[in-house]
Amino acid sequence: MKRSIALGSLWLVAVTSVLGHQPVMDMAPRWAGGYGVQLFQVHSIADDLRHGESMLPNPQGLESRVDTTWLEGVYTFRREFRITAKVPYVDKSRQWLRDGEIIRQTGHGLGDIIIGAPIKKYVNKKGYTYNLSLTPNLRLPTGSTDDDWAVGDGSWDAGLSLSYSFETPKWYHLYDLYYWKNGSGRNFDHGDELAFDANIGWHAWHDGDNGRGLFLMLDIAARHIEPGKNQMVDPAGDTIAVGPVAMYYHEDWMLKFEYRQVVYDKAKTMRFGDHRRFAVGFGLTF
Amino acid sequence: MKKLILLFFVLPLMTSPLAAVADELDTPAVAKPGELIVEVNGVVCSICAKGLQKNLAKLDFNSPVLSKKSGVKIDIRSGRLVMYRDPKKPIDFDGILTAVKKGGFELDKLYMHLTGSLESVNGKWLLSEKEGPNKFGFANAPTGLTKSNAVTLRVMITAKTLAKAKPGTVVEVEVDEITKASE
Repeated sequence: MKRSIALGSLWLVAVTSVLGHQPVMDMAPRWAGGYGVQLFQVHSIADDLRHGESMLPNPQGLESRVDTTWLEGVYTFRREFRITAKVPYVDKSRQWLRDGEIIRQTGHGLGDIIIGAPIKKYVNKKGYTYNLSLTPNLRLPTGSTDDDWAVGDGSWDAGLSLSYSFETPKWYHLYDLYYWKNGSGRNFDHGDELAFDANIGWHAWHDGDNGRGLFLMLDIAARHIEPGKNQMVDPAGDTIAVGPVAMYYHEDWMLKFEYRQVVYDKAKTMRFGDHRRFAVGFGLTF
Repeated sequence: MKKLILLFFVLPLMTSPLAAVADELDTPAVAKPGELIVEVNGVVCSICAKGLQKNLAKLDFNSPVLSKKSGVKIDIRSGRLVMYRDPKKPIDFDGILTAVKKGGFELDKLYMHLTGSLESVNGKWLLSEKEGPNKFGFANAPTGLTKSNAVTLRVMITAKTLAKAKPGTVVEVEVDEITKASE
């Protein structure tokens, strides 16, 4: 296990889990001059240890918790081109072992801002619509590197996402494959990441007279994270997480609830394993 | 990593049969008096079509006093938006095309209910609306009716027809139903 300045696994897991797609931000606004904002609160906890595919004993009861609140915005110049920005506020704490002693580390503050520029190709047909999207992303080193479990690593990171979504009045599908190339941090580095997200959704209820309805979705998130450098807890490894998503919309606003549980986990080095993630989002479009 | 890439390609193939079950009914719309029905390809959720709805509501001939809120209602099952028009104002067909395109979609057809009198100009049949400046052309002469008859029509206009129409010319319509209006 490498030791150094702290930045552990859950921060990266929590952040990367919302880098890829945003269902409502994908659906709307697709009109020229449209814009939207979303508040997204993610609560992630882990209380078991893992190395390889094995679960390790945790007699000390080590635990990790990350709360991230995202403020997200999108502006659509025309349906083929949007700009997105995401700003996280992070509050986190964890216990870990150093020389046989339990230490407690915390971090809080504004994190790294992510700017994206989705380029979309839409195809609209009778009864369905689909689009292909290519999204370059840039993560700016705006997060503080001062805390003992630092919110940011001080690096410039670049990402590229390729996604496909298909929608009928009854069904919604989104598949997103993306890659993050993480730059060198001030004191430590995150490893590069390849990820795949899928949302398979059912438009369970729609009240056309009042412009409201409900989507129920199955969310699947797979991650492959390369080893980083000088991290106390390196998130490297492969994970697959699944869970339900419910999204209620009414006219111009939407409310979303998500739960995600890791179902497959293979850690490169010892780290926290069984992440459980709850999220709630509120979005508006104009 | 190979598993992830495989998943990306296999999952859409496995689940696409579910997505292909569209519940679109391919039947012509029946416009009521005062209605203009805008049939748009790709409108499958109301939150996605909010911009389109707002764009249509801004058109000058839209008459929100005849309906609640914006005056434009979305039906995602048929992909149709229903608006109410002020018959005294000219219909801005270019405005409809632009509203749909800027709204993120493609126009397919328009449906209207018209009431007016028939005219025959240079061998072509025209309908002049009872109120207002709107005139529409027919491809075929209506049987059993004569010049100056008052008629009620249910008509359809395709996006292709609108795209070809020159500014200031009479728009050609396809007649779904024509009846002699009661005097």
